[in-house]
Amino acid sequence: MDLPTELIDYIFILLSCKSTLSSCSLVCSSWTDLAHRHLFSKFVYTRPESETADATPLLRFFQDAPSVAKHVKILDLKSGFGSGTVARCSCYPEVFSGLMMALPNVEHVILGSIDPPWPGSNIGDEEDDGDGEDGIDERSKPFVRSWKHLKSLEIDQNWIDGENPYNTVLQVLQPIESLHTLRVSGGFFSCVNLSNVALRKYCSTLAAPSHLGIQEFVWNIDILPAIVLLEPLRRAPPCTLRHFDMSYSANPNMIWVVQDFLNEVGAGLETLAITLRGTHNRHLDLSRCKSLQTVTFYHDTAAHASKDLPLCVNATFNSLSTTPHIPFKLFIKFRVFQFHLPKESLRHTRILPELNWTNLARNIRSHPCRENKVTIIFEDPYRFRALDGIERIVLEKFDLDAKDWLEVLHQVG
Amino acid sequence: MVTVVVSDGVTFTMEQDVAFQCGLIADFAGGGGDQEEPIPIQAVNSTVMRKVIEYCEHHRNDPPQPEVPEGTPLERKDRRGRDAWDKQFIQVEQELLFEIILAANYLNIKPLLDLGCSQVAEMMKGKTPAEIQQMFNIVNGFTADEEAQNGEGEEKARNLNS
Repeated sequence: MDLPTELIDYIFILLSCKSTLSSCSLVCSSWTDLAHRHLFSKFVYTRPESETADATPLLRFFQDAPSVAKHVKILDLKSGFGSGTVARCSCYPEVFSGLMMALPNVEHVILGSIDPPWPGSNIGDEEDDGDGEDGIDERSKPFVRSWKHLKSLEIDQNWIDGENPYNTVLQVLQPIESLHTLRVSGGFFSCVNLSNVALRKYCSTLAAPSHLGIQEFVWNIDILPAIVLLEPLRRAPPCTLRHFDMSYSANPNMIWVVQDFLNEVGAGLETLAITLRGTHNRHLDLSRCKSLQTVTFYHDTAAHASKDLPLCVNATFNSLSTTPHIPFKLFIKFRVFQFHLPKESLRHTRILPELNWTNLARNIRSHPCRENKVTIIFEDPYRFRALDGIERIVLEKFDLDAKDWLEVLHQVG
Repeated sequence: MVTVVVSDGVTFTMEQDVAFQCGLIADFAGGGGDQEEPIPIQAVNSTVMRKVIEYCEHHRNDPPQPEVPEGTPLERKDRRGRDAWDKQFIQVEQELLFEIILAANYLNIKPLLDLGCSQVAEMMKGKTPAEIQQMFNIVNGFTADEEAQNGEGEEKARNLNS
């Protein structure tokens, strides 16, 4: 075939069929490396049914085939160890560390619901923090050396307490400077075995990357002391956090933590997503988040009756400032503002009636970016009062009788 | 109007909206008015240039395509889809197909490059290594040992990488 290498490479990009790519790798020696680059850039390991839950076969394969291993950029072990038990995974630490050594160019690692036992994994041990002379945890050194390209780490179903090795996985990966995205989901913070020291260490890990997602967490601690979260942040170098996603994490007092967290690290924050729950989080001041561009609030009603999002506020900001009368101090300056407010949810929450609509309207009217489109989607007709600065009102999902419609028309004018 | 002269000395004159689908010609002409001097296109012969012009004339009224990240497989690209005309257009002898791809690459016509490369990809789909070698007249250059070893490695990789 008289085509230059870059065009053959482009043809391989267009070939989404793995079996054909595999055939191409066996066509001639000059095609092998090109095909492998596309074939193995994302390696999704699924443990065969008959195998125990360790990654030894995978490790052996990569050790025997460095020409393949060098192409792996994304390693997905999410479904490879999903049903493993601690006992069946007993060789995991060595295997995991071996994998790190064998994959020199891996950039993204996705771990599933695995329970790998890790030597010395009790992060609640206050007396021995394992730091070496250079300040890097001894256990981190091989990872820092081997995974210098690691950019993102995702961990699913993460039980966070003092005994869980996941904490250690995060801890040992923390000194890797290239790590900019950390997404842990389905976590369960348990007060059992989780001392303040442990939590502090965990939180200092979370503060490192620029993209942080801690989604679907259950913070099963009655009052999570925000100070514990903040202490490591104060000691840490200037925070690089740019994107913070804490959606669907449940804790009645979480807003305190979020507020303090944002006060500390919010200056450089560009996107924020959180879930506000029940009646506990009324005042969120984003005035220190000077770089904020996009905010997404998900609101779960106190009733927790619906799995659908009863309220979603999504605002894109130019900048932010504070006003004294609006509990959510985000309705100030915006380019796009969408407000979804199901009628039903109002009966269950005490947050929304406290919004000062008059001030909101005034701010909308005086906003310097009035030329930008402002859309407000209301599903409750009784909230239109004094909203005459709005350019367009969309009525959604109404089930109103004639009297209600008359009221709507009266309110809208 | 824009005039080009190709490698075998043949001259082609095209309207600007046809010619400017070729990034190279657009750059050469600087986006200005009519080009007085013929633009030399030394890497393309008249047979291939005729095909290229035919393609550009057919797609002269297409809206501009959005940029997509490099490496996006064709099925997921929001580029110009292969319509019936395109499919018919690209059904050519293998040698001419490769020449069209090379010309599209040289002249910087991304949709035509996509069309040609995806046609080659389509031809390879589902084929064994031996069939691909035969189809494109490629000598593999592996020793018997290497071939066996490679085959075994691929098999292992297929089992592990789902």
